[in-house]
Amino acid sequence: MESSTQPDDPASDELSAIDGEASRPNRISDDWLAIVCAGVLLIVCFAAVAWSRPSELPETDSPAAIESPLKGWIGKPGSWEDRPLESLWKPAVSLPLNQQPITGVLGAFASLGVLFSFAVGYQRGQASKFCVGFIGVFVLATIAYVLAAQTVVKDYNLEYALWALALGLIISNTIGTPTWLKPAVLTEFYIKTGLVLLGAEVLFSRLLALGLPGVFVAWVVTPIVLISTYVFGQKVLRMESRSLNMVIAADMSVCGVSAAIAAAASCKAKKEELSLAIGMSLSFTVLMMVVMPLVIRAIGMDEIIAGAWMGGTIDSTGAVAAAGATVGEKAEEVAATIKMIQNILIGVSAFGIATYWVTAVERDSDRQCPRVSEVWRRFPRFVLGFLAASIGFSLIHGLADGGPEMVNAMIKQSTKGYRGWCFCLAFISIGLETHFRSLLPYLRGGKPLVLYVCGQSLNIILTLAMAYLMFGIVFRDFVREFTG
Amino acid sequence: MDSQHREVKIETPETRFRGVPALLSWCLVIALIWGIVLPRVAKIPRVQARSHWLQQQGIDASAMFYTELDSMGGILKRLEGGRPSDHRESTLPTELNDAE
Repeated sequence: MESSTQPDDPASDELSAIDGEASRPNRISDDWLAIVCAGVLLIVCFAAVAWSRPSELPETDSPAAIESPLKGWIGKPGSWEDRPLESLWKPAVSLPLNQQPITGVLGAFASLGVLFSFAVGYQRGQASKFCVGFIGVFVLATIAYVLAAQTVVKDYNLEYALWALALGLIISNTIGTPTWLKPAVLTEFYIKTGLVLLGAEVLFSRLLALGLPGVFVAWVVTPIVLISTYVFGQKVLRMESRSLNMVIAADMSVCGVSAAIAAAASCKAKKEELSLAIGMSLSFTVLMMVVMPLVIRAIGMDEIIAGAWMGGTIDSTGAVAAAGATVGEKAEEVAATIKMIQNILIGVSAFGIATYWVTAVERDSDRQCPRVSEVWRRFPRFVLGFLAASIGFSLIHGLADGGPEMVNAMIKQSTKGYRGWCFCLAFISIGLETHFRSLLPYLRGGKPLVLYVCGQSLNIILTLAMAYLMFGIVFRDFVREFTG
Repeated sequence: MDSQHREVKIETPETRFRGVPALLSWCLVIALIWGIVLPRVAKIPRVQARSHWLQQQGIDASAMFYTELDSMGGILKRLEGGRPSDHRESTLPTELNDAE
């Protein structure tokens, strides 16, 4: 479906398409609906924090200086080792109710269920059918979270996205997706809502956390690798699908799953393409998380350069921190900060990819340069919501009195949880809409794998060169002083 | 993303019934892996040591974004001028050092 589908575009009417009911025009496109829903969640979550903020901020650096009243009421299943139910209820300790994981899960279910039911009811007029389906999809998402929370699975970065996708695929490829679930199988709506929520976590004020060397490694090498990998896929490998090429390039060069989701939505990739890119990314992340620290220790590389190298190359944030900590404290610090600066690149890359897509890939073949109105018509609106959230909360974080504390409390204690649920619901939906057969054409010839391996090899070489140049030569003394 | 690419499977009670054994098999595989295999793997001393160490460091290795990383708060605080304030044990646990 085109992200920029207008309300009267029958292609955007997913429920009718699935149910086979008479096509009824949507009153609002998925993009705008996602912006409104995410906007409501952000406003409510921020208002809760601002409302509970003490009039005088304490002088202490204590992270508990400001707390969201929603803390504990929005959450996900916790980690477990041998009893899956401990993921939802910790029996061994007498925790207050709002510290039991089940409370956060039920809170997320109730608040998202009510909000999305109103939204879908307004858009398509099928709120009751959506409610019934949402219960099923949410239960599946909870199971995916529980599978991902097992300590061994969690420690090797096998994220919930993978298990959500697998659960959906198992159901759709065995008994088929039950009809009652289909009204709540709304991949794009969940993804776009999650992305706008993610925008609030992309804080530009953190861009210079590691000074200029960090910017060079994260914001110079990454776009070079992204563009080179895309061009390599088109000119050398001659990949049939431009969108698959772009999703793999963004996923591998920026920051794994979150970048893949943003890129896929920006270039209107197919669900199978996003699934494939994420599967490859998670597999290589596990490999790199284990192998890179071993190589670094074997050759005795400087901790700071090693941290910059791992931060710029390993796809996933958690894996970067784990690999960095294996090498040493400074390596972890630099690696995690480089990855954070790369995380901030998601907004810019999503905007760049969406602009490139509507101006170059989707333009009419007989017209050299598309008109502004044409670009505006095709441009995915959710990207604007994403950028607005990012800029708005960056300003609050950077300029408002108590801004960092309020924004951090809002993100950590509420919106981060909502964003996770939206993505988990989206991956369950992708699985429920995908047939194994439709994945096979993408695997033939192994081009996606070759693209990933070649792109990642370039990434590893360029990032190492830039890390050595910036952290080992040009800014050596500055970095040593900066990182203590 | 392109939802027009969706395959809408035509379902009848018969086709759905045919898939039930396959679904139950998958459920059994999941139950065996998550109910028996992974808990046993988690008890292996080296795996357990790594898990506890990551927990001590505040690292969620499955974090998708930097805001999901508990250790990031401390790192940012140190970078923004609070250092040297960190005295946490950051070296690998003995079991892992021995193994490597």
